[in-house]
Amino acid sequence: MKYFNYILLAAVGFTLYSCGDEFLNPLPDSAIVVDAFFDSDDDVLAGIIGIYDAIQGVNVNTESNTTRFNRGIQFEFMVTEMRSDNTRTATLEGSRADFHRYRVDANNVQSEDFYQSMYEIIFRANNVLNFIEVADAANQRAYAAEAKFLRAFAYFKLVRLYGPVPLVTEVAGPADNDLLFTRMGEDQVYQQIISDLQEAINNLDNSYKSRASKAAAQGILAKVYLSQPSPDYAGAQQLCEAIINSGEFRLEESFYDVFYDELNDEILLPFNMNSEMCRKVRAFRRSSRLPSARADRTA
Amino acid sequence: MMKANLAKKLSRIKRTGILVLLVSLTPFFSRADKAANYYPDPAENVIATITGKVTGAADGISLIGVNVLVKGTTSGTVTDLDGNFSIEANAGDILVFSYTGYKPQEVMVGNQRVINVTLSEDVTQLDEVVVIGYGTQKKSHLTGSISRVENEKLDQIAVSRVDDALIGQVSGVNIQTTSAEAGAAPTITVRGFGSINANTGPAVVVDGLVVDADFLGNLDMNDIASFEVLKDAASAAIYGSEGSNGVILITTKSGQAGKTQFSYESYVGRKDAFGSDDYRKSVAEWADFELAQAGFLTNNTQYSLQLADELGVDRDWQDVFFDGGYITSNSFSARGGSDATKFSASLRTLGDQGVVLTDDYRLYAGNLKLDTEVTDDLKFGFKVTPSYSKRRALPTSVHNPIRQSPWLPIYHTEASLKYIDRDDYPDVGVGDYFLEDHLINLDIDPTDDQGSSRPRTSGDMNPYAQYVEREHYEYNTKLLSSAYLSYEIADGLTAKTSLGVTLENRKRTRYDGVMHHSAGAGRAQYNLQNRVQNRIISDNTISYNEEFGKHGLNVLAGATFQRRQAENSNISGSGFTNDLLKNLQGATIVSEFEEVNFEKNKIGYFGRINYVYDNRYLINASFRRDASSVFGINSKWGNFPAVSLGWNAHNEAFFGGSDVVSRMKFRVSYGLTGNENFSVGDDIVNNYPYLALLTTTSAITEGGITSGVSPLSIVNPLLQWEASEEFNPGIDFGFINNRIQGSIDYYVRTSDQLLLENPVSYVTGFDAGIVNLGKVENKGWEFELRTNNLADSKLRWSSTLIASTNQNTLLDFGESNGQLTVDGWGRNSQWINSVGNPISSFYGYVVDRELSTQYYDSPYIPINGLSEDVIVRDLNGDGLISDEDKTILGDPYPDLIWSFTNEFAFGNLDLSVMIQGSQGAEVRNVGDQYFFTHWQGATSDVQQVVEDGIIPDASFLQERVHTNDIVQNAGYFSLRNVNIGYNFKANQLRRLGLNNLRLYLSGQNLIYITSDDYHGFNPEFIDSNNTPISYGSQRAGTPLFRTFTAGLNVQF
Repeated sequence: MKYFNYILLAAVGFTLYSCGDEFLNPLPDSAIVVDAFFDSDDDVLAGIIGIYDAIQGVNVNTESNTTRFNRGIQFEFMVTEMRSDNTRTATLEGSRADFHRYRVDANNVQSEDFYQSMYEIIFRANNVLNFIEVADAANQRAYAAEAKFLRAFAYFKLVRLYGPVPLVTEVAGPADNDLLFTRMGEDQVYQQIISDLQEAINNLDNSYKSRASKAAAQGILAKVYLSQPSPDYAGAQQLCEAIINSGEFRLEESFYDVFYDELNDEILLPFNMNSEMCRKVRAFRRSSRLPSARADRTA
Repeated sequence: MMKANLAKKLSRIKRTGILVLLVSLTPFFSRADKAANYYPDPAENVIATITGKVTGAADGISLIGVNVLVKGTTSGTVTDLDGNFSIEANAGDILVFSYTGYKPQEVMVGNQRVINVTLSEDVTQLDEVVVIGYGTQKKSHLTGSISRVENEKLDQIAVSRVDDALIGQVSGVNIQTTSAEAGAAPTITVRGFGSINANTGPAVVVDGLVVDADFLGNLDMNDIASFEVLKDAASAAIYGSEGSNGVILITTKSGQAGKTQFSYESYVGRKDAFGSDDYRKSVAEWADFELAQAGFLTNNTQYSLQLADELGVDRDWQDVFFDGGYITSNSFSARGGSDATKFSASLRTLGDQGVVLTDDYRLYAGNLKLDTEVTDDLKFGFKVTPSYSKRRALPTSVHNPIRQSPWLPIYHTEASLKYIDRDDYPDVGVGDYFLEDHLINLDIDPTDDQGSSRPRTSGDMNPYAQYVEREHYEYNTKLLSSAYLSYEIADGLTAKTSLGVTLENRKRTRYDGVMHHSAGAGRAQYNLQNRVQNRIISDNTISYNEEFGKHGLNVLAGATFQRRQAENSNISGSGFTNDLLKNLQGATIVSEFEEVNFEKNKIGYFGRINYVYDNRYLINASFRRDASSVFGINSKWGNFPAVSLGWNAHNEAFFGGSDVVSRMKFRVSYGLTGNENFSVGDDIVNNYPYLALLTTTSAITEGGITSGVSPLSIVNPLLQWEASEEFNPGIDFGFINNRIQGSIDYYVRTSDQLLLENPVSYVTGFDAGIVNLGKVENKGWEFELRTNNLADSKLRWSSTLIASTNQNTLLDFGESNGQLTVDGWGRNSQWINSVGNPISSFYGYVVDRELSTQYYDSPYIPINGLSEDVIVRDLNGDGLISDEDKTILGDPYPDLIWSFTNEFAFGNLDLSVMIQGSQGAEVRNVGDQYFFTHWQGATSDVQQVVEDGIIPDASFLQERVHTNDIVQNAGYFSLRNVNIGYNFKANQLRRLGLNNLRLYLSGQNLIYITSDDYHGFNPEFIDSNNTPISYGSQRAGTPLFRTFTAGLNVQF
């Protein structure tokens, strides 16, 4: 009988050891639990930086599976230039070849990816806006303006490429069907863009170049005025003159230099990339399902 | 006497020490045997050799493998193939003859020198004992649907994984070669696909320990005694959350008391790929075809002919890539022990070269299993199974290199140098890889600005370099270990505790060398992935097993605790300038680093009552309550009850022990099982879906990296168990003394609250969220028939027919009903997930007819080219082609899987033949688009086709890849296994000191017939990029193959 006691002891011991709350509610050490975050100015800033990450997206060269988005601005040349006569794709295969053949439809994966990427930017902006009051009082207005600038940036791309689109200015859950599936008229989308950009102009200065700035907001708003259904040429002119008159920008001597040093004086807003940045993708966790995804690049 | 022996042995164990015990188990036990024989009791007579034959009482057939033991000692033997035995014993000894399914018999030796014994069948034990969840049960008492497969010749099937050998062995179990690479896992489904994002494979339990299905690749078939597959929910419900897709229980071989049995099993097999004739390319044949069709040759073909002629190369790349290979296996084992302590130890090596260039698999596995009775009541056991495997994986899908031009040589020769464009490639010389790009500017049709007149297929890589210069390895080091202690508290009442540990390290290295790509060293890179996983399981049970007169009672209660931890890390390097160091040491830039750890825990409580009245009425009820760390705070616990009933009608008086109907059992079962293991591709989301999480991100601002955060996923705090309920009536029957026996099962399994990564509007910022949504039904029939056609003493012939049907239907899909999904290759081929149809159904247009070649852009430009567009059918007759004209084109789930096995034995020769097949599944073979280069055959002027009255509207021309043209029949018929063996006679072997010697030849897939409309290399292949809601596509697949094997098994 004494052996049985040992067994019982072992079993009971393990039971006690394992029945703690932590056993059934372990916390991850490779991700941050939201409840434990967003309680300082730095945290809100980190959320803002997260929006830029959405713009830069995943690396189109290392992330080959088309079911993983976000290649947003890396695919922009396809949804824009490729439909012009400026360029054509080298490939004759698949949906990439559809652009220069003008066969793009709603199933086109590159177009879908671009659309999705823009909403990721919008979502991250809307999400940070929920936590603005956590930031230092002095920074709150600038943070909100920066998030709204980036939201307007994405909506401007969307409205030009897709016309009426769902317009969300707060975090929308998967069940908010009215918000998610109602395409708002171009006018309303433009209204939102203009109001966001004006808030940016009013609350930002030109202390950053590769982040939102007053000049960048002015520049984009000028373009918005020119693009909207009823163009506002005077408004655009006024904004452009404001940029010129700020004295902080000038044309490069050589056209070549515009593209080989992104932080030059001719640029209002660059989205920086570097080789390391381009390579840091969320490939690994994804690849746990798809061991050979990377290998299919040539397909 | 026994106690004294035991004490003596225990003291010996202490003296010898554990280390020596492990190192020299075998000699230790043999010495003990000899000791007993060297010092006979002087009071007894001298030892004599007793011989004899053991036969079955009913049919007089000699029984093979009957244990013959001198009572009270460890000395024993087993009968040979003719039922003969030979043993040394004293006149005072008693010989004990025992054999599964027969009543044991004891015979006093006395003065007899020849003892012939007939054993009669033991009705109560007639059916073997079947392993069930956390215990065993007599087969006659089973009320669920459990199939048992004994390893008789499975170890003679030359495959590198144990699951590959189970194809066709069990009804209701579909083992599909969804990847045919050496060492790659097949896809196993029990009774159809019940889940979408959750695991669809069965749970695997090795000697009571739940392990990852991955372990099927690291076990040694020679060690396995039997497989039991728990198919219905009532049988699997005791495993609760592990059981919803069936459970495969694996029982490994144990030692037997008596002389140590050594065995050596070895085979060598030759594997050759089938390939595809439809995809075969040849410049010469294409030129003949083109001349016959068009009357002239395009510049492209002329130029290709010239190249083929001057370079002497015109072969299909299948000939280069499907190089075949050898599979060799060597396994050595020792099994034996005393009455108290039994052991089984084995070592195995396996090498499989695969059939494709570069794929290779090597496995080294060991196993040690010890069971000991410390006292009559206390038992202790320990096992450890270490293994190591190394696999070279294919770096990219085989369609990529194989579709390239037949005239393209691997290397440059003197003859080919003149074709190199020296402006762009000044340094290329003899022996360097030949690239199509080297021909740039040698455009023979300057009027074509696309340059497609240059003979090319599409590749900018050298096909051969694309494989050979990329080394992708996967190393698996695994350890499975468990220990148990069981104590019989009172008669029939036993407490058992066991602790199991599995440790797994998977390392993947992917080196793409400096020459793998035409862009050179700039594309060289290295990726290293490490995954360390461990799982600790503590199982604690108390069981009561007793018979009171006509009442049989079996009660089980238990608790299980599991902790799983995983550590993943990933790092990449680039900036290689040469191939000297093919790892991070050679890299100059390190990037793409990541570390992801997670933990997943579970608690389960379970109980089961099995009551049998008079061997006639059977009732079985079980209950399990599980909690998983994966689910939300308020939904962690799930309940999984089950009940099943059985009636052994043949034991009723009115059957009166009929010989005609020897078994007639009716049973019905109902149960609930759960599923918690889902994969949405992100391990953090997989394990913490109910927590709102942020991931760190980084962005470049002002030229530097700044870190930020972003939400990781859509949180679902309400996420709960996926639950399956299953109803399973069945009949087991046996006629004419069980010479004909079998079973029929019908099942309906409904899986509800599916764990699903459901697409959500992109406007949310995500593409999908994990939810409980949808309901899937799988129903079907299972049929097993085993007949003993001839039981002559000279010739024996038995047959087994196994067939199962399955119909998969999506019953509910909420608002996602009718959802369209596309593949991940940018082909836009669609699937529909709609209620009333299988989960993933192929969706698209139906081809009406082909467009004539005059309308193609360039009908003969790519070799084997086919038009990109076809004329499709206007299904709704509205004169336009729109989405309304798309329809379901098929689904990837087989309707019928079957096998038919015949076994013959004449004298020492035996033969078994299994034919096997699968019908009713389709596969979307995008391989057609690559091999027939659709995209080069675009229609030049669609409007002209309309004007010529060929079609009423331009919309009638649709891309072939969106039609049923590439949805092809995946059914097949195979001569799956053939095994012909010769077992040497016992008297021949005795001189050699052997107990058993078998030589055999075997073959797998000697014939494999696919449908005419299937063009690819493997209709069973499913590309790894498929998702569960867009399932069943491939790009021709890795090829199936035929294996010829020669092997031998020796026992001594």
